[in-house]
Amino acid sequence: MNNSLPTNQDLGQSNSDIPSMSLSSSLNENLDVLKKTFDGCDDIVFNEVSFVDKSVCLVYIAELISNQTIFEIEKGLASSLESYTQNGPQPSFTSLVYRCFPFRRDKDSKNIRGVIKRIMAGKVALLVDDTDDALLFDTNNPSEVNVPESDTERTVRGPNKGFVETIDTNLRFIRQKIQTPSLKVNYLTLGEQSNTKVSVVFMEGIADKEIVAEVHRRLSRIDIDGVLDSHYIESMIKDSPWSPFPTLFSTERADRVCGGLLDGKVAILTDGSPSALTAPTMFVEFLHSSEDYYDSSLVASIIRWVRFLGLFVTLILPAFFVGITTFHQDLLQTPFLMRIAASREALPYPVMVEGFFMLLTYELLREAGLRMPKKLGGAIVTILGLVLIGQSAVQAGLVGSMMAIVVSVTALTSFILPNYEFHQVIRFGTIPFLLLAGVFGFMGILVALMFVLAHLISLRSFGVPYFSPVSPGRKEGWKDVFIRAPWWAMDTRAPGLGVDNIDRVGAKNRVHTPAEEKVDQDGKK
Amino acid sequence: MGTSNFADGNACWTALTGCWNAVEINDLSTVDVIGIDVNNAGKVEVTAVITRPYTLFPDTAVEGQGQNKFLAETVTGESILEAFGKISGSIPEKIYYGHTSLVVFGEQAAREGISASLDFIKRENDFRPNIQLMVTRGSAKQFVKTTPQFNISLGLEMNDLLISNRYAATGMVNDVSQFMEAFSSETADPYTGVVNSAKEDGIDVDKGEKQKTEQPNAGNRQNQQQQNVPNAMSLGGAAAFKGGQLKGILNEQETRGLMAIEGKLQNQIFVLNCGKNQGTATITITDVNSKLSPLAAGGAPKMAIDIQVEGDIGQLTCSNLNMNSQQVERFNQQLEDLIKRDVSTVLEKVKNEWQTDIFKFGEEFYRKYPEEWKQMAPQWRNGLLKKMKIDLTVSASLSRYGEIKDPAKPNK
Repeated sequence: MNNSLPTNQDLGQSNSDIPSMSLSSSLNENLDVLKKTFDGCDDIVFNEVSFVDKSVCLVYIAELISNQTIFEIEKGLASSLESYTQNGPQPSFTSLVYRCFPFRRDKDSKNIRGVIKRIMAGKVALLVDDTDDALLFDTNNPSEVNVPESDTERTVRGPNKGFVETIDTNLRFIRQKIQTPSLKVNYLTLGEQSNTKVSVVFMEGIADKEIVAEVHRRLSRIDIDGVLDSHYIESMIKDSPWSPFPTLFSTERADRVCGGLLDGKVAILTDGSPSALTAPTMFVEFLHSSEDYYDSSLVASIIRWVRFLGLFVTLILPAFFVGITTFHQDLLQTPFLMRIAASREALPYPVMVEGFFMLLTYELLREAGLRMPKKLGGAIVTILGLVLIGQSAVQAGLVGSMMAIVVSVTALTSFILPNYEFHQVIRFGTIPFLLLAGVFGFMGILVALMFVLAHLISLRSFGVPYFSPVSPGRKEGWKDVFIRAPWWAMDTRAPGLGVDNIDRVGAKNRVHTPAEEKVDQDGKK
Repeated sequence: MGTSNFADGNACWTALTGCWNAVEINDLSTVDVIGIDVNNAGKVEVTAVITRPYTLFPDTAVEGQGQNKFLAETVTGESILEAFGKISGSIPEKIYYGHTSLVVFGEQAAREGISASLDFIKRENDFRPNIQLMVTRGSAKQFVKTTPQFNISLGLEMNDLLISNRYAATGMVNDVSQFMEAFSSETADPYTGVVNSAKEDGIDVDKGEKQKTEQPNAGNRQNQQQQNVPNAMSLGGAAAFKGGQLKGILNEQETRGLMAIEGKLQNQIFVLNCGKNQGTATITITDVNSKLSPLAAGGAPKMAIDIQVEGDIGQLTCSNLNMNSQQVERFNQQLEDLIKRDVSTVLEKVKNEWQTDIFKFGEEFYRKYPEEWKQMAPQWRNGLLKKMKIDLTVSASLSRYGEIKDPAKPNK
């Protein structure tokens, strides 16, 4: 392998679908090529002006350029045009424009691919009739200093950009991370009264065309007076409207959406809501966090298992405790049995009732803490909760100390689940499990788990099995389910999603053993 | 009928408690140890030691009451179940055997037969199959009242005694399932460990309790009662059964012989003398292998027993001892003789005198000669076992006498 830095040409090869040719001197021809390339990108702006014998066209991505910049460029252009019409053909129009923007110009490009790349990078291109040279304006992109971190999905490492409530800003975040014209953005307006701007974003060539079409079809069926949050859309386009499990993934993180787009998913952004939806969705995604992809493979895989454990603990632990203390005491160790029996000697309520009350109390505290005006401070809830549950309830003999521990652990572990929507489903799922364990013991838990599993396996998200790639099993997809393979090994996308382009990374990126390196070198010689 | 069932079911759902076999953990009275005796009238005398969990831990115990941690109830009945029926009548909770860890038979009860007890234990689903089954000299009623010293209950204490023992072979103790296997087998007879109060076995236990100068009258009687309660327990010997009946209790030496044949002699201590010199060498057995090779040629069964023993020197007090390979060889020879003597003694007593097959010799014959065994089986315990010749070889090897060759000496 040669160690020299890759040239521009090497890098360019990856975007093979972008035409690589020189600009023609005809504006219309150039525009045709550009319009074809940007077909399906509703956010591209072709601002064409004709006068006397000249046509000029400004090309840019709407959300990447601030209105101020456009205004200034247009003002400069107007003055250039004015002097051109006054002075006749000499000096040329281009030199007039040059004179008007002495500093704000980027390197010109004669290659259409260069122009496209710059447009994607947030430049404004000016195409002039009879000129095979595109003028590119270096613009001041809107500054991003005050972008909030997503509050609900936090990570230690990696990008922290969270979506805001303006769709244009959110689209800009995506466009800045994925700079290719294959990233298509389709605008829609939903809500009879609210006229909310909604956009469907996907990667052409990666996302399955059928799924994109299906998303459009389902969105077009929505007939509602207003869309105030993306959940309105989610509940109206999900596959199983009665299922408690989310079959669309909602996230406030820009990097998560971009990851999904690169995986071949379709994202739906809603104006006024910081949560974007991605589809199709697999069950395992709810146990993955963005940070999995920014940590080392080993660490990320271990953390994933911690999350699987967290899922089980949250769902089962109170039920398990109730089952073991009321039905299956044989399974306990003798000293532990004695301990529990000793601590429960003078308690009035059965374990199951205790567990139910404790979970209910936790929900009350949680809700109160969430709805309490910020000015009162969270400390009240913390202190009350501590005193109420931790001390009084146990000391007063209402609740056993073991049950208090069990419910606290459950409440805590439920927050291991990275997705809030999923977390809520699992948290409330604890209660039916608890009741079943109180009535039927472990058999109740097992039968309930069987039903839940059967339900999960029967679910689909935009035609993709919810439990894929585990069931139906697709071995290629397991690199990103129970473990998170290193990036160099994740050479394919998730196969269950029905993507059009399965290859993620080229063979170049694979790690080669020293022996393979040697073979490579020998082969070259 | 149908409607009433349906109504019951609904009551369950709505009352949310008392469903099916649900029992709150604090409504269980856990039987820790069961002692079984027979009285003079030939009736079963069952002593159930029931734990009172909240007295076990300092944070839940009610102070100042001097409450007993256990309730030992003794009841006489026609059968064990009947006795438990009576016990149950005096306990406001559900009798629960799920955590019973020890069943002790008094010697007299064991001699009269334990088949009925085994039947009860097998039939009751609660019992775990790994309950230790033991025999005590004297009465089980007295033994099961032993105060646990290191664990919260006597049963747990017994389990730990068997598992964590460092200097005593504990392989003679069998649990219910092992015992049942030998008990119901045609080719073997069961044996199990004997457990006594430490005092009987010559171990003086002083709990270091302060003498109370002033005692209230009520407490006085209780205290006197407690004088008879054993302080600690100790393993001593093995109980050899023939079928369901105890034939006799093997002493320490005979038990060692039994363990050697069974290959379970690990951790056992042997004391060797130093020949001409003063003092002793104390050996810990580290590994034992025993091989039984039966030979049924010509109707005269023969059994070759080959025992290989490895040991460490744990203590050496011989003066002027030159520790070299010859000396080790002498020690080996002495250990071999000791083990041979033990084995011969136990064979003489159990095989010839009692004619019971706790060594599973029959099993070996059955495995190697299944056809011949059919003819051998009827006479096996009526003379054939006694007639069987034993060819005994023992080889001992002490390893790792190591760097410390000489005994510890002062002023050197």
